[in-house]
Amino acid sequence: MSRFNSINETDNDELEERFDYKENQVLQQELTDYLVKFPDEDDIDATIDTLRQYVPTQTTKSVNRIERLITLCKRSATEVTVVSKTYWITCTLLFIIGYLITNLADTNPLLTLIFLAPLPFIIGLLEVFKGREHGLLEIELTCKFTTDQIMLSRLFLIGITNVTLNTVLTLIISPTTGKPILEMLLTWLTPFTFFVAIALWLSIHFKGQVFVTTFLSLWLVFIGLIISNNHWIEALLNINLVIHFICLGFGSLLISIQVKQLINKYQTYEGGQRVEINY
Amino acid sequence: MLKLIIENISKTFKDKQAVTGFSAELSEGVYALLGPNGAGKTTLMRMLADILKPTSGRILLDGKDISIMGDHYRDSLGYLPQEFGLYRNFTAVRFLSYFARLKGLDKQEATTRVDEVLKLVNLQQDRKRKLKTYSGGMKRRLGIALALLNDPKILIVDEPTAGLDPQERVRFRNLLSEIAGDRIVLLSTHIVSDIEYIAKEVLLMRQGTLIQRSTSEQLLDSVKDKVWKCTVEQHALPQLQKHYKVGNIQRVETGIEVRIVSDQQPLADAVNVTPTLEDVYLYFFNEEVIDGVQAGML
Amino acid sequence: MYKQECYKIFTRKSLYFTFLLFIFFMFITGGSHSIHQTNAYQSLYDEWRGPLTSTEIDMANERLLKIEEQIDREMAEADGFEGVFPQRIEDQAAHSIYTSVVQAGENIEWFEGRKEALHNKTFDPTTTADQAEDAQMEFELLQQLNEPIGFYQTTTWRSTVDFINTFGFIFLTVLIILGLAPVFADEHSQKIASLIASTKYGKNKIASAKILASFTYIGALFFSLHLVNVVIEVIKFGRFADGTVPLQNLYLFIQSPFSLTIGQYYALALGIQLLGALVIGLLVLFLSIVTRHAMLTFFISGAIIGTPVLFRQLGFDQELIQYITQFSYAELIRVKGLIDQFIVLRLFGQPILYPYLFIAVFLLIASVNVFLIYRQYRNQQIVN
Ligand SMILES: Nc1ncnc2c1ncn2[C@@H]1O[C@H](COP(=O)(O)OP(=O)(O)O)[C@@H](O)[C@H]1O
Ligand SMILES: [Mg+2]
Repeated sequence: MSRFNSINETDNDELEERFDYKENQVLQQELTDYLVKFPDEDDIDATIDTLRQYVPTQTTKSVNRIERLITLCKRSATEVTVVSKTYWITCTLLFIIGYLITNLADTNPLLTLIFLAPLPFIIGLLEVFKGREHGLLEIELTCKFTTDQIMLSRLFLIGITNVTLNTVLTLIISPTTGKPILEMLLTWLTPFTFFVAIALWLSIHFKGQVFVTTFLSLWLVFIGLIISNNHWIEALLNINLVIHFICLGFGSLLISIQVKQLINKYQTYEGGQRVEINY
Repeated sequence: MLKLIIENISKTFKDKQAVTGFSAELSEGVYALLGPNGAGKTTLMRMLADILKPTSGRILLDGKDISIMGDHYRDSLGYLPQEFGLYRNFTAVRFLSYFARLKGLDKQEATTRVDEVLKLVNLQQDRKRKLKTYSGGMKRRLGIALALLNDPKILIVDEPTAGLDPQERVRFRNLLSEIAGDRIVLLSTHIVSDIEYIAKEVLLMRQGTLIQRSTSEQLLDSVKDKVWKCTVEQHALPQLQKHYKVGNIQRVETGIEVRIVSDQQPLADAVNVTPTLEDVYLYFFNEEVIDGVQAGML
Repeated sequence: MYKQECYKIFTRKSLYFTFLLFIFFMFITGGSHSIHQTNAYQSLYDEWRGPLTSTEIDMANERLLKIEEQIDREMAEADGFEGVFPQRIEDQAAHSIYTSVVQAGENIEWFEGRKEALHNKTFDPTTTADQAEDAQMEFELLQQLNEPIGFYQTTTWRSTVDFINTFGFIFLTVLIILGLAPVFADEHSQKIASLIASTKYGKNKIASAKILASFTYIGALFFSLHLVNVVIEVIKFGRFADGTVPLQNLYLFIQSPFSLTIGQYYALALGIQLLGALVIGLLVLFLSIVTRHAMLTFFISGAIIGTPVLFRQLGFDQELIQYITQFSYAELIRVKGLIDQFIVLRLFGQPILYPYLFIAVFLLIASVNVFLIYRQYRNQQIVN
């Protein structure tokens, strides 16, 4: 602030010294008399055509996938501070709860893992759509990083966080189950992808309060269904590896479709507005 | 004869006194509540609209406490909040009909009345459109229609002209004076030009208290010899702004013409000019000068 | 007003989405034994259907033994081949029927034993006066039942009745909470509360309209859910039969002391469940007013309703917790726990049957709740 002021002052002083009122008046008069004719269309077009060669060609957004991934990671890293503290606290709490349940209660730890896996993501989705929920969409769209970019990087961030947490928990409990680690990872990852796909779909179509409650309801009912049915537990825990990979692929496909939809929707204000179909 | 008495009401939020010992007696006519942001206008109006209970004091309509009158009071009330939402997927007609029922109109009355108010605010063409397609000004106008729906004896409108374009603002002012008739109209604003012509009386409010109440003529009178105009050079301006309440600033050929509100003559070549309400505002709300200037220049 | 409030609830797409998903869940769970649908089964069933005498039970026992021998033989012959044994449909049907008859015989025996034990307890010198009184009460109820148990094929009824205390109550609760949590709360999030509250009817009649609309929603939800369920049950298990036999023929209700037919129980249970749904609706509406936040309402009402269920699942049985679980919203909307056993509670020294006390308590809660809704809504202050 102060620096600005001082510069301005010196400028003013200098101007003051050299300023000549008479000259100024003559100049003003001259300028007022001078009439600028509006150029005709052809001239304008010609000028534009001439200038066109100097316009830099639009750089393609990112040269290759790896580079794109790196920028995404970088941007996600900056988002870490933006994502609210409650999210991180909740994640930690969920992790501790998960640890306690898997270790203390006499439930199947893998089952617990399947059930708890999607929760951090759901809470994270609220962060992703924070701008939309608070009516900041219009502002965000005009910022350097557009809404879809911000959303994507946050999505990436919470996805990575979620998967990391789950993996760590898996590693911690792996001695107790005696199963190969890959199989354990797949056991929760497959349902997880489906949950994520459904959650994304819901979050794109409904506003925050609605989609969180709806999703949690579905999630609870799903748990109830599974727990009340021993066959299903068995089936869920002992799926053939091949089927696992097929399901996983399908789930991932669903997710990528949703993400594409999300990006398309939030590139424009129009699309974002159509969310929230409450009344 | 309608008479609304505000008896020494206060409202305290946890740690903040929003309204402090406000008393006034209002009869038919248009009153303007003028004050800077945070003066407590909205809080006062909410209490008048019976959606907020005063911490102390009471409000009487024709001698009866409004908190006891309940339905009967709200039956004669039209309230337009400063900020309000709309059901995005309702059409204007549906929205207004819904509120018509809430305001106690029966079905038949509701239909005719909805038509009337829509015409009044010039929204007939858009009556069947969903509210989410409305522009800001249209929403405001719909809000005004809403407040007028039950032909209220007491009309309370909180910064109704915010967000209206100049033309709509003029239309709205005319509308208000048209309908004022035999009701009490209380409008809050920090845009002085709104009230210049229509307000019977102006209530000046600062930090939760009523600091002055008079007609706009009286107000103008009270600053009659205190408004000055002079032309200065650019570099003298900051100095001037530091010491005086400076109003409109205008660039002219010979330098910068400033309007100053001051008890004494600020500069030797300053001349007295006829005051406007903007000058009054400037005179009374010195701490909030910046606010006032912005408001005046809107 | 009422119409618009309904419009607001019924135009919420997420509710339809959830409802449809739940129906999908209902479809994919459970299935019938195909053997029940065969002619062989039906003709043999008609022969055996009804109350059972001890000679009939003995006969069934003999025949079952014979079939089991046959199964052993066939399995030995098949020599490791996989398949269903016995191989002939007729034999499969017979096996199924005789097993059930034998089971029914055991149940009859158990029932008589229970009556006898109660009778003895009444005269046992070691029992206290209260206990004797309770036993007498239970005995008299059981006397009214006569001989309730026989052999009936009630699969469709069993599954339909079961729906009430399994999916039915969960789906209902979830959809009620989802649907009603925003009823009052969204007026605030949509910044329309101040407009409403400053109108003539904005502090009382609107609350009535909202409650009525909510009840309409609950009713519509309730009937469509059960209607869909009935259709699904028929598709899965075939037509309804033997709804007029005593409730005790359903295995889950074998301990019930009440003299009801299956059909009567179903009607009664639907009634109580509807009542439960409305009571829960009132709870959610109240929370919606207090919290002014749909998601908060969702979590709090979920916790209030879900915690007792969780306690029971985890097997906590301290006395206080037992009272909490016994008098919980979930128990009301599940219905089954009220009817399926004999529980007597003492109120000022007087014995009173649990279901009666329970319903009375919840009617009281509901009326207090209504009162609170109106009071809270009238007195709310709006500052945004
Ligand atoms: N709900 C509230 N809680 C705490 N303070 C409030 C609340 N509402 C308003 N205030 C405070 O009361 C004062 C008056 O606010 P308001 O009536 O909105 O002023 P105005 O409408 O004149 O701009 C402000 O200082 C504001 O911060
Ligand atoms: Mg205000």
